[in-house]
Amino acid sequence: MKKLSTRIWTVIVAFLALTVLFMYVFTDFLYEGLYVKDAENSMVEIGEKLSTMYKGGKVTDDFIAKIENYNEYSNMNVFAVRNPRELSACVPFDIDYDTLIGADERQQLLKGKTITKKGYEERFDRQVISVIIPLTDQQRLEGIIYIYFPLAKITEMASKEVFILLGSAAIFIFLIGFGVFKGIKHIMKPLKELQNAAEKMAEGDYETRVEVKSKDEIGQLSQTFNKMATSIQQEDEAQKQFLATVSHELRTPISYVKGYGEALEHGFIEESKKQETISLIVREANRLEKLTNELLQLSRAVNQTESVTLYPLPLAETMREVVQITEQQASRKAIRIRAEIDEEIIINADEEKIKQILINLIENALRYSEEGTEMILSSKREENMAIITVQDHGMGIPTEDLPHITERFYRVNKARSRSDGGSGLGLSIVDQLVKYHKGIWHINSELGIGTTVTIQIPILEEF
Amino acid sequence: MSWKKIWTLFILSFAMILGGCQEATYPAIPETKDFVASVNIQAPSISFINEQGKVFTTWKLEEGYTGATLIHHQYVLLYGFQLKKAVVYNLSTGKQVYTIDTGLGVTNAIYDEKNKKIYLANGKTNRVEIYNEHGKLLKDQKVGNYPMSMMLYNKQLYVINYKDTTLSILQVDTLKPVKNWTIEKSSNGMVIVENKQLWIGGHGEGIKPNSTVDIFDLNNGKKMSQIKLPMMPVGFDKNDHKVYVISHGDSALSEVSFDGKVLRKTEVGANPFTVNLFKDYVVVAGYDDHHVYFLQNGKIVKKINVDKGPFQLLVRGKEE
Repeated sequence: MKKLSTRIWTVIVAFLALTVLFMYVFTDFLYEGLYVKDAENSMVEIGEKLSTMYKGGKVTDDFIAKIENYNEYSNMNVFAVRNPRELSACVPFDIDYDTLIGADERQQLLKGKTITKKGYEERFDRQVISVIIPLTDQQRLEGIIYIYFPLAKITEMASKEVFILLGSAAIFIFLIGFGVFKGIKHIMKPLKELQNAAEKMAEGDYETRVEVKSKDEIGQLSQTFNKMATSIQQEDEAQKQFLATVSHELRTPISYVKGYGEALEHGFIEESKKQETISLIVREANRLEKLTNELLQLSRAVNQTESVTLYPLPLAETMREVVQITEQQASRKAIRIRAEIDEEIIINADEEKIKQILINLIENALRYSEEGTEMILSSKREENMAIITVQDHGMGIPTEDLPHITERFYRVNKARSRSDGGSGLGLSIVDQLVKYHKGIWHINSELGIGTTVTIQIPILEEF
Repeated sequence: MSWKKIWTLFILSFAMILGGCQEATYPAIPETKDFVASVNIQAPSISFINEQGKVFTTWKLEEGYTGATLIHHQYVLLYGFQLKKAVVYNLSTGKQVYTIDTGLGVTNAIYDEKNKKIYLANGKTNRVEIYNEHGKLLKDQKVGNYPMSMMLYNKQLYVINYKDTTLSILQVDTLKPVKNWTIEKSSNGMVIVENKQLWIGGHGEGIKPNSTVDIFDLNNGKKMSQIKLPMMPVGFDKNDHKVYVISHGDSALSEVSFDGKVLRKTEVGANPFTVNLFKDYVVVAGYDDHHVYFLQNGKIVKKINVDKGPFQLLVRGKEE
């Protein structure tokens, strides 16, 4: 397969050769059209002026001499002829010598017409433009004035130095070809770099970046490539991070279960503490279960496709059910859940998924709220969006943590770790599910005052 | 209109259609009418001019004939260098009488009134041929290169070989070569003066124009002298006391006495090739200006417009 640069080079050089050829033909045409025509016109003019010296009768020696004299100072060749043999006067008889003018030309001249012709003349052994002016008296062709000018055709001219011409044309094309080759190579260099970079990327080196040297298409492509590389690298790192986190998260409860389990097995636990140890193992096993469940949910949410259909869902009903589900959990911390529900709202949604969003948010709020506080779950309509808020009076989230809150396994309070029962996946799941419903959400939080999560989901209008 | 008339008309039209398929018929020339006719080889046509200098009939020829000769005062033979056949027409009826299969290359034809024979010169085969009055080939003889001018004198046929340096003299009946004389190349036109001199004109060899008439001793073929005349003397005619010479290069008619003195020169026509005597006139045809001139005493008395390229003159009824 030919390289793109070779193809471009071929095209340019081909066009160049065509241009040279065209210029050659065009110059020839101009030469014929302008130069030759001009020469012809001036020859006719001179010839006609000279012919005014002829006053009729025989062409005299004096006249011939005058024309000869003129010839000596002229750049054209001029001579007068009065020899009837030269003028084809004997034409009815067979002529076995070369006359200056032919029988047909003689007829033209007899009518007083000037003849112009262009071509090879045997007498002068070259290409000439010639003009013949008749000198007539009483229908007698007494003589002619013959003017000719060597017509050095460009080809003829070049034939002498044809090698120089061909050579210089070849060198010209070669030099230009070389220049174009270099130029293309220069232009193509970033592309080549891009290709190399892409290959490195394909081999897994996500650190690869290309240098952006220009602002043209290739520069833009390089920029886009860099952006893409950054994204891929980030995604790759996130993936690695996620895996590391998952294994870490799983390992802690497993080591608990393993450690206490082995201790029980070998009888290192005192009888009085056995019950407590078993409870601990069960708690950690529950955590494991919950964690794996949530991972499953998250992976489902991420892999969710369009194929799962949404349907009209009365939001109020779902919200009440969620309150019912979470009430018990809340009461354990003596937190009251207040629901302010707009009964009219119907959204296009999947009931289970909406429930999950709300449960996740409420559980999160409960987890980080002080005992005895109040929590508000509300829904209202704003234009064509359903606005759902979950508001708590918990400890709040520091501003610097807010952008990372939806990242998997991100915890605001690292120290509190797993003891509070959060897996660090809840908000990630919420994020995926809200997106799935074509909605948006955001978190407002103030340390010590509380957190408000607002979700906006499009309302189903015609129902 | 009766049936008879319609029938006649039908027959007539049919005859005309049939006639159209055959050779051309030209306007008849009354037998008693004298004329000088110019053979116009560019047209081609023949213009018949009467004594009053009027073209009374023109024959528009259908083939590229390059020359013509009167036969017997009643017929005209038309020939052409590029034609395979020569044709004889009856002047009185304007109808074709017979044809002669000459083959290409006929340059000249003369008629021997006494023996009723036609002599043809052929520039392609370089032969001279004799035909009888019915177009039958009787004899032929190879001569020099490109025989053209021919003249009969004293039972001998004088032939100028145009592209050669010889004059061939043949026996009139057998065409047996008698002798060859050396002459200039491109010679054309001859006349015998006082039964002892042969005058020969010519164009000149190559691009060098000739301006002389060479005079030869009729007995031994020796060049006796030459007369300086205007350029290219190629046509002759004579009467009892002088010779008329036409010089086409200078468009001049010269009257020369038998002893070689130039009596008068007259500029006439443009590029004339031929001069003939007709009645009281000297007649000259201007090839380039397409006019026939009647002259008397060195003055042009009539100028007659004819078709293009009058090259030759035919005279019937030379003198009154």
